[in-house]
Amino acid sequence: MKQFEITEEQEWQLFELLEGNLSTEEATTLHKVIATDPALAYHYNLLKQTYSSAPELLFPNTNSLKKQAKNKHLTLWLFSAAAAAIALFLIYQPIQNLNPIPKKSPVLADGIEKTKTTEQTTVDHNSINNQATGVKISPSNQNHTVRLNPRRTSKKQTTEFTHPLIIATNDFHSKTENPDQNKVLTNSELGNNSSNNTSNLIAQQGALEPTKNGNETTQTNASNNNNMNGNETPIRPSLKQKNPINAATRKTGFALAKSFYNDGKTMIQKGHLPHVNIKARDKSNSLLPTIEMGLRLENNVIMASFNH
Amino acid sequence: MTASEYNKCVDLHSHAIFRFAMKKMRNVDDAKEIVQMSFEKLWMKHQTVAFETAKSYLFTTAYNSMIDGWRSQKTTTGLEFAENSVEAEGTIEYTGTMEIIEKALQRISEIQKTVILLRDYEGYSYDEIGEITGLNAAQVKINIFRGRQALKEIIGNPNNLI
Repeated sequence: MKQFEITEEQEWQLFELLEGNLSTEEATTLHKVIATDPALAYHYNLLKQTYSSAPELLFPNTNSLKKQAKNKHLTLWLFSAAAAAIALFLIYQPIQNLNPIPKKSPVLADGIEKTKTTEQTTVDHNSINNQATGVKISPSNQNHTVRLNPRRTSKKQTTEFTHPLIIATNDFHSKTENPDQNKVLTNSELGNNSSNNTSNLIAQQGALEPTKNGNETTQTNASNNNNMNGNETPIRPSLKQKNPINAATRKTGFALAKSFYNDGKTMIQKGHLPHVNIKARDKSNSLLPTIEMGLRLENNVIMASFNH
Repeated sequence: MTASEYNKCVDLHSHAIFRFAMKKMRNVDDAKEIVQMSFEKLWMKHQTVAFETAKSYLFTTAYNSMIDGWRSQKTTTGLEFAENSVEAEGTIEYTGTMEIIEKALQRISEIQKTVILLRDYEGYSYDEIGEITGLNAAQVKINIFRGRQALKEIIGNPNNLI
């Protein structure tokens, strides 16, 4: 190959020729030179062999690489549905926090006929002493018993339950309960036998109070049975029976207070005058004199007046 | 780029990418993986990559994937890989010019091989090859020239392969 050596400039000329970078005239001239120069011809042929064409290689499965075009309408619909679901969840979540228990159970219908509209509210002495922890409402012939158990109460809950007016149910909320079996029933669940004017209130509150009450029924002692009607039909098992540890429902004290506040506010704004009879118990479980409590709305604050 | 345009790209360029990857990787499975990876990346960015530039994007992606693959292969296999390669090459029998060229391509540097393949197989211009490889046009041209000179030397004396 030594006899066919060429200069690097000639190498470049051959390269430019094969690359197609020369003009027609330059290419023609160079081809003439190559035809007369064996060394150039030799290198030209070798260099020409380095130009290869694409081999017949095919990718085996092109369909596996393809994508399906998305259906815009379906995508839009899915996005809409997802957005609606999220919105519903966000709306429902606060309500659920206030009302973690299903509003009604099929068993409730059994207790409807047994309910009457006359109610009294009995508040444990501890509640007045700001030691409230929870609420237990029992029917005792359509009487309400609001019992607060200090042993299960955190300080935070105590402060939330400071005001009797918040704890006590009003006249329009009748609740029945069989304490022996830890059953709770609200007036709304009993078919709304109370005043028609309070239907909205009951509808809102009826589901809220059993949550608290249902959770706290197991905290009561047997002394509450004094106010209970032993003939009450068991309506609904307590939460603790279903779910022994439910920390979330224990935190509903504020939710309960908020519910009472909202309900009372609604009633007052509609012209109703909620009137509550409160009976409290002392530590020896003896009934204290009944307290009459009236509610009114002043500057968006519910004011309670008490009358022995 | 729409989904239909993307699918059109698959029809137009998948075989070219596969050929390019096969020449570089010399392994069907690796080449398939490069093709799939390239098109997956294209699909992920199909909303920003125009149909006209898809081919360049695919080759660039494939080239970079292969570079990354080689780097990781070098770090993981190291000396053992090199020794096996020498043994394999020693047992090859060359029967024709095409095969000699095929083997000679494995002897030149990766960048020279890449620019020659892109030039010969795809007919890319120096600028287009430069976009894919990150070189400028002059560098591409010089690399093609040097690569072809090396190939020419091997073809002129096949014993250089042994």
